[in-house]
Amino acid sequence: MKFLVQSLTSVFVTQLDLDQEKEQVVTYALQLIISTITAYVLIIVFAYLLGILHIVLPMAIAHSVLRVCAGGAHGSTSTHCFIMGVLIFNTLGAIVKTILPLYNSTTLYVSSLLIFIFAIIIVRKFAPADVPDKPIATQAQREKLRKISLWVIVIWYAVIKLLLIITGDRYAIFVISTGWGILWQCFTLTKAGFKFTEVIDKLLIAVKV
Amino acid sequence: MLKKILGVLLVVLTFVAYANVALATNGIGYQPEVPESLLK
Repeated sequence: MKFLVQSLTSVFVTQLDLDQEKEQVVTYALQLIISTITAYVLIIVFAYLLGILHIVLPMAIAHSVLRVCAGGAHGSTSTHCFIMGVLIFNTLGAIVKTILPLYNSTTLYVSSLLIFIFAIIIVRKFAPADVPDKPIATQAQREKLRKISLWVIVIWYAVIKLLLIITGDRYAIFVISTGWGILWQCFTLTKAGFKFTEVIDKLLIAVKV
Repeated sequence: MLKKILGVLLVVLTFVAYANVALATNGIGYQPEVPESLLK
């Protein structure tokens, strides 16, 4: 990934005669875009091979939408982030697939309500959870991000509630998988979530990944 | 033509970089260290 980012940045620098500041901006943005695309492609490929793409994709998207506002734990390198993303989302996807028969109208309503309440509590307490590489400098920005995160949860709950009222159980998998995505994202905001990421990160370092 | 395309892409990349700085973190991929020039 580093090589690709450097190669693309050099094209911009030579063609547009960019100064050092703009070069840094280009490198930074390319790192963000390429790592996001790579993470999604890897997650999608593995989920497709496991036959759980219809569960994993909504889960990952719901997780991402909340994550950009609420923050959360990250791996120390891009490779660690990709491995964790693939492992976590596909494991959660497999769990959801296994427990899918347990869901009915009642458990769907109750579980989504419980996730909504849990998410509101966690976000109010821990969001935005920043990392050393990307500190959130001002209190005003923290407040703004916390409010946006709460709105994301409220909008998610309103959408799935409307879906359940209008279509019944037709989009149950979407409701369940996005709920698990929100739930996992809330976990990554907590101290336990940071600890969990740190442990996986250390394990990956130990096996020299 | 190439310069025009790269110019447009530069605007998009600048937007992505500043949007990330304004938000909490990257959605699903790696979160690189924010360069000094973006923190001013």
